[in-house]
Amino acid sequence: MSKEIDKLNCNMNRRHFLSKTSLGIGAAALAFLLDPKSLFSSDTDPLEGVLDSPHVIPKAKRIIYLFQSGGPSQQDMFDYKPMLREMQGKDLPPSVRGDQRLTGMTANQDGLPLAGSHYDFQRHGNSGIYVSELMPHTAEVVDELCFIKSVYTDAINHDPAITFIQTGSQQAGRPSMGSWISYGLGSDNENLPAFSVLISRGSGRPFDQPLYSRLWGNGFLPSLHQGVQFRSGKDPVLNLNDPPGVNKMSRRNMLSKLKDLNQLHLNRFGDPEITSRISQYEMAYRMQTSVPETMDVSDEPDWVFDMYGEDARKPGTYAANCLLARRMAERDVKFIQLYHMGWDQHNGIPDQLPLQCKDIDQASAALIKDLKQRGLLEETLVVWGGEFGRTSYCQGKLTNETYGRDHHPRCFTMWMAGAGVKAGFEYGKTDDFGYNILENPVHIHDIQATILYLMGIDHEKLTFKQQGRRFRLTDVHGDVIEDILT
Amino acid sequence: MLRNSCLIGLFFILAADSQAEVLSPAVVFAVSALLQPAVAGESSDLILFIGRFHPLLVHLPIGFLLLAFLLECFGRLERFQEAGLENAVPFSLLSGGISAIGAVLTGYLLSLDGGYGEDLLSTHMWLGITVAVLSLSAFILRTRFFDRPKIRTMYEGILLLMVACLMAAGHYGGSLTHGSDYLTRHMPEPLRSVAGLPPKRKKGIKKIEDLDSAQVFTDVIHPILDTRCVTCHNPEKKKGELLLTSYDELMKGGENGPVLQAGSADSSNLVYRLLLPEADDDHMPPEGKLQLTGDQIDLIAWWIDQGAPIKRKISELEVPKHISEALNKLTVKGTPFLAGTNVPGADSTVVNQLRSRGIEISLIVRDKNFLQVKYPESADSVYLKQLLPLSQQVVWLDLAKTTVEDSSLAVLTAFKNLTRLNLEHTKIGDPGLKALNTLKQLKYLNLYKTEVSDTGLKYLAENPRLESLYVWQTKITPRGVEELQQQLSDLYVDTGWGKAGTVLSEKDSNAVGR
Repeated sequence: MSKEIDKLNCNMNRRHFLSKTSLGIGAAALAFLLDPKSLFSSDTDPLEGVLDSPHVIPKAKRIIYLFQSGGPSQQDMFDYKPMLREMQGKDLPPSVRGDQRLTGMTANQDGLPLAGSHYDFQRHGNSGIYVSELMPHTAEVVDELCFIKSVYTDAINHDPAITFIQTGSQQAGRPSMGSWISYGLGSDNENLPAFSVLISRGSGRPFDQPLYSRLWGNGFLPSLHQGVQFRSGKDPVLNLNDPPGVNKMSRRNMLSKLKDLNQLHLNRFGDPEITSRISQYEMAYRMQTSVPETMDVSDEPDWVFDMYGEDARKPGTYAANCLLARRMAERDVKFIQLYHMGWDQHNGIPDQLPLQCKDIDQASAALIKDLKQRGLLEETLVVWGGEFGRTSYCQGKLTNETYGRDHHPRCFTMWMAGAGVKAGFEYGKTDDFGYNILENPVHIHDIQATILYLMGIDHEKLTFKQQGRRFRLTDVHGDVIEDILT
Repeated sequence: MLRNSCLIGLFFILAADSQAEVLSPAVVFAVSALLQPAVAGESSDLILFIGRFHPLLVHLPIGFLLLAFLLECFGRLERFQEAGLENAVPFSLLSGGISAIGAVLTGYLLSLDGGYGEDLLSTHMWLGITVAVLSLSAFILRTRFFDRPKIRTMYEGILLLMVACLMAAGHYGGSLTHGSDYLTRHMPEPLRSVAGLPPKRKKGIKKIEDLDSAQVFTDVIHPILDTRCVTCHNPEKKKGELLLTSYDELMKGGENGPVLQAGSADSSNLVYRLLLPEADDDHMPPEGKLQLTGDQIDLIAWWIDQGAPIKRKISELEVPKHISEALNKLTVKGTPFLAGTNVPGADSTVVNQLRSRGIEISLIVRDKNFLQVKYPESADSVYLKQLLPLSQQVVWLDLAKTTVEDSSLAVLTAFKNLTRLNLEHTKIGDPGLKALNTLKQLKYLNLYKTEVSDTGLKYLAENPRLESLYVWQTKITPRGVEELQQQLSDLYVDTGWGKAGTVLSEKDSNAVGR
């Protein structure tokens, strides 16, 4: 059966051939005549992006995305709401809540008592931005950061929300942001994947919501553009090392022969996935040297570990991943995606949140400092944030000792730093309850449009045709947040 | 069928003729009722409502009458004899004539609203009326009552004249709505000089060279009005009787009196209308037209608050912080270099040759020929001379961690457009920096972990655009940094985090290192 379908696919009658090719040849000729820069486009090397050159002048050469999975509590970290303390225990006024849906976890609760933060806030830096006492190191670098306090999302549960912020759609199956960027701009380092992923567990809630590899998946884009996960331990990328008994030489010979076979197959069928596969094998071979070299932090002096924190010596921690992120940035990896789990504080914020903050505070700040002194921050965009925020009211029983917060998609805080964004800047404002946005709402699609813009991509122009229509990261939405750009 | 329709048309006209005495009072009454408010100086909404159908209606006679002309021409060719094209001519002429009358009436009503150049308007109006009259005459002459050779020639003459008038009327109508230079504005160069037009005006606002000596009206305010407002407020299309082509006209105001009150932006109608929400009917520029930016509105408001002076330099006025930021963006220096200019394309053979040696070369942005170049760390030796053919195009150059030496940097003198240069982790020392002082566009220089010292730093004072300099882990001292910053006040120098004023030298970093 499938043979017949293949045959049908390859079949083309005279009329089809003429109508299709004449248009194609004409267009190609015209494109060549009109575009003297065609020498820069390459359709043979899959490592190069589909865009022969960026749409706009890129501000950032690479991105480090510090994703905080679970939904960090903005009221306890960055969005200072003193009124919540004054109204401690009083119910959230219905006028503030409006028609906002609640999760099943608090919808049937007797009341929605407001919970003030247990943590004190202070102004920091020349910019005078409020940061809570949980984040003392981040407070040191506020003058480098651009806070967006009015991000909102469409989803209210973890998986759809993470899928949304990663792929622009709540339903799984679309390419991740890093895949889009790899697809559009290609790789600057042929020895490492353009889209690399590092994961760490939070000590506040070690057995939190899991992450799925489809979050850094390529969706319908060629598989070359999927994120490659780097693990801690002696086998950072699975199945990369040669098995015992296979030496470099025989591996090389095997790969060369395999390449010839694949090439034969490619000539016969012309499936781009085969091209993708050939270059993946070749990259994997090169990665056998480049990955251990990147992951080996033994050449880092001691003061680096003082800076990132002692955790940075323990492989698999967030701090170690931040250090690796810097090493990857130095090696021109385009999209470095970190995930730190454990931010889902439905209860026990006083027990869990300080541990979570301790995990990330020093290392995130050190990453900013370290990139800066190496002259890299100017051309690297660092993004920090989760998939949604947390509620101003308490989930479960509010006591003087403890409180928890439910999922809140209406507003949360993210920060960016580095290439092309204003430093020491706050954008957007929430109301005194920290429940609704008062000024400059920023949708997830706007964040995505802005990130692509900083990389030189017009988010409306980077598309992929699939199932009869053109898809893009921002679907049919998204505006670049001009006000935060330098 | 066609003949029937012609007969019906004729009947219609004859009937109208015979009833003219009955009809005309009614028509006069209706028109005068519509025109009543116009006498008082203001056109009623109803008039304007009907009048605005003019642009819509006006295309009907154009189409019908041109079709009549084409049918008449092609009907005479042997090839189309069978088709009987000429039978359709009377019908097209009649439809054209009737719609032309509609267009003339609505056009007249639209003109009552005012805001159009009078000369142009009257030419357009009379041409339109002529077209209506000629087309109906042609229709009557085409009927078989007048089927005589002499009349036939007259008919042909009228038809030709009508087409000529139609074209002219259409052209002047276009000039009224879009401005008289609408057609020629984007005429390419060789044609332009043939047509005897002045060279094309540079698009956008001219950049200010020196902010202090710039005139606030001529250099800042007028260019804004010129690019955003005068397409409607010009002598040909005086919307609201307001001209914004010169200072005097601006101060004179429009039909509602003065548009600005010197010294108070808040009570100036101009600013009020700019600030209204875009959907508001009174918002300017009207919805759909190119809008002013927030900066531009701020600048206009500031200028009015400062008394709306005509001859004052910026330095003579009080400049708050947000205005000085907005002003800075108008200067040559405030414009990103890459966005403002372009260079000829790079030689493809050179590019391919260099790429085959592992040197990464890519375009920075589409529509520009600027290049970024990165030498691989593995390069045994860095021959920058290879890059010389691309000296105009290369703006970002990354030589980090290569074996580049002081002597090879001399070549860079030719790279006048270089804005970013990365030399970190190289053996570059003070002599190398001397070669960089011709790079007037240089904005970013990374010297982290190189051999440079305060002596070399002095050469950098020659780079006026330098914005960020990275000198962590070098022999540079705080004093050297301070001296350089005295000469380049906008320069940011990074000497390593958290040790403001102190520079972590190689020795120190070894000390804290292993």
